[in-house]
Amino acid sequence: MDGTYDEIVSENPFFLELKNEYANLFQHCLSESWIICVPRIGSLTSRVFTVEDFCAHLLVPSDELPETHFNTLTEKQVTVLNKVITVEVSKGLPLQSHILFEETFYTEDFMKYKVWCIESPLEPTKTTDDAVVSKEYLSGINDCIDLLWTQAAGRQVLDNIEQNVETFLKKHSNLPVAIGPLRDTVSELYTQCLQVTLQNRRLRDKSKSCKQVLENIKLSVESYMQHLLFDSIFKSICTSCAYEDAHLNKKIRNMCDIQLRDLDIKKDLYHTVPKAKQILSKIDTYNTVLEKLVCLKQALNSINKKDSSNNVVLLTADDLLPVFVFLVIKSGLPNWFSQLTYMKEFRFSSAGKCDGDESAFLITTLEAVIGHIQSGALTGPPDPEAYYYYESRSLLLL
Amino acid sequence: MLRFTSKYSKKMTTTTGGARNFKVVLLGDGCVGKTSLLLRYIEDKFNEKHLTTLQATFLNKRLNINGNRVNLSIWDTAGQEKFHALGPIYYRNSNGAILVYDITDEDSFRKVKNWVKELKKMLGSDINLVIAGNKIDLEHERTVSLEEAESYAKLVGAKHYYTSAKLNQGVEELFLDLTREMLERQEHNTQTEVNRTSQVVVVDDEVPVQSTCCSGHRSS
Repeated sequence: MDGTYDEIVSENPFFLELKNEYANLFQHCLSESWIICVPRIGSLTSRVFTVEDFCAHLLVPSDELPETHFNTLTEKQVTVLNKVITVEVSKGLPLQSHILFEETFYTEDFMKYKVWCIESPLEPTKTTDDAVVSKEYLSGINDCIDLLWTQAAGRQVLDNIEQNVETFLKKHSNLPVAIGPLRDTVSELYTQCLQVTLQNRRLRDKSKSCKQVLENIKLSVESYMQHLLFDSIFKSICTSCAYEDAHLNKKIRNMCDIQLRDLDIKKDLYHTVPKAKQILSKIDTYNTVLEKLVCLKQALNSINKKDSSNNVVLLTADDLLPVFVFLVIKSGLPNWFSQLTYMKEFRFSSAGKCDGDESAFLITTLEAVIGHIQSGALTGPPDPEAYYYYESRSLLLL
Repeated sequence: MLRFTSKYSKKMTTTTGGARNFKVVLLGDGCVGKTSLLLRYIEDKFNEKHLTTLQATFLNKRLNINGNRVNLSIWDTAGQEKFHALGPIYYRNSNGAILVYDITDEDSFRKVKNWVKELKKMLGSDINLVIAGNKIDLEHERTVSLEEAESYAKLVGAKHYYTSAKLNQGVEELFLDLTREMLERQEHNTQTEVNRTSQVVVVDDEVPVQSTCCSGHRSS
């Protein structure tokens, strides 16, 4: 769901040739802190590059606006806005390319330079290959089905997964109720589904040539499996989390009259609360972990404010957490703990990756909010007057 | 094309997908400028409308240090006292922690000491610690003495930095050094891991005995 494209830039043939064959130019680039653009490996139509090709991909920051305005060494003007590079060309429409990611390099002798991996070369090309893999950004079950269907050029992969899930459900008519064993059996099923998927030759070849495709296939298989399985396993999860959910609901019910000001939420965020609440309360309508995570992300990002010149101000954890606490209390959902457990324990496609990625962060935030409500730290002084006394006193202290 | 595929897959096995992922948490009192430090480091000029980040609470940065690819995930945490209890949820599985205090606020330095104590207790020495004295642009209002901060950092085995998010001083250096240290630690850990797995192979004979005693959980 991060949707971030990845490749090993230092092994990209374009970058390698610049570094090895044009060492002087490369060194000069480093000493002047110019930015090196490297077209992603799939977008390179040939393996033969001229010096002009390289010059067209070295960006010299302008004196006035070094962040957004550049010149290439081929004397073309370049602007960068919202991750899109625009190159003015003498004839026709300006060329555009997306910045897929930025990588900051540090050399042994403490030189620093930046590389932008870009969607397509910054030169007019005859044909651009249609295998645009990097834009695959999975945000829902339909994206996942589309990916498995189109990349495999047929329904057979989906059919295979369906078959596997069916046999699984027949075999396990009584699913284990404890979370550990349940996760392990479902994890086994996921492995089976993934194996069966990668037996498809087209998918296997594509995932071999690009790591990004493999990651997307894994996530799609996981999501499609969850989509088919959800009703059966979520019941088990709710059963085993019944105690925690009941405890949490008691706390939530005790705080049902809570107001935004009770949580020290900043006044300029008040207006975003209804929309965020609407987004978040839909979380139980989604069956896949992927969609639940996207829902959390959208809810978090919908809490925003703008400064006087209408720019979006990024919020800190101190601003966000109280709002999120409020949203969970007011959402009216009776099974937050089960939702959290599902998201935490049934994410298999990211196994082996570090648990510091964006999805892990979203889940942790939800866990923190639930933990905060459970702890009872919110109940505060029972006498409202004491609260105002405390508030005015703390204002005096400031 | 084929040539490249084979090369790529070889690389995958040696460095697990090419990049190492490190999780770094930012801890510190409410107004010490943790978030400004983070935003200054990321200097994300493309992020005006495309909210690829999660507000300013979670940010990613890719580095390549002498050929080692590193993907830093930096987690900001809430600094208010009432959220203190949530700390462990955030810092578990972290590779590094940056503890920020305000050089003009003694209380924020005391909080850093509390965090260090807590991290040592919960995570032992599995984590790289860095202490950052922020707001050195306000040097004339300093209340936390230089010697005290540095000797404390030395005592707990953390590196100490002076930073100013406002003037962009010391910020990049801090993150770069921390990343280097995390790389070193991981290299060291993988070496010991190799030793450990070879030990497991030696006691291979005992495995069936262990599994029978573990199977007792079925009855419980």
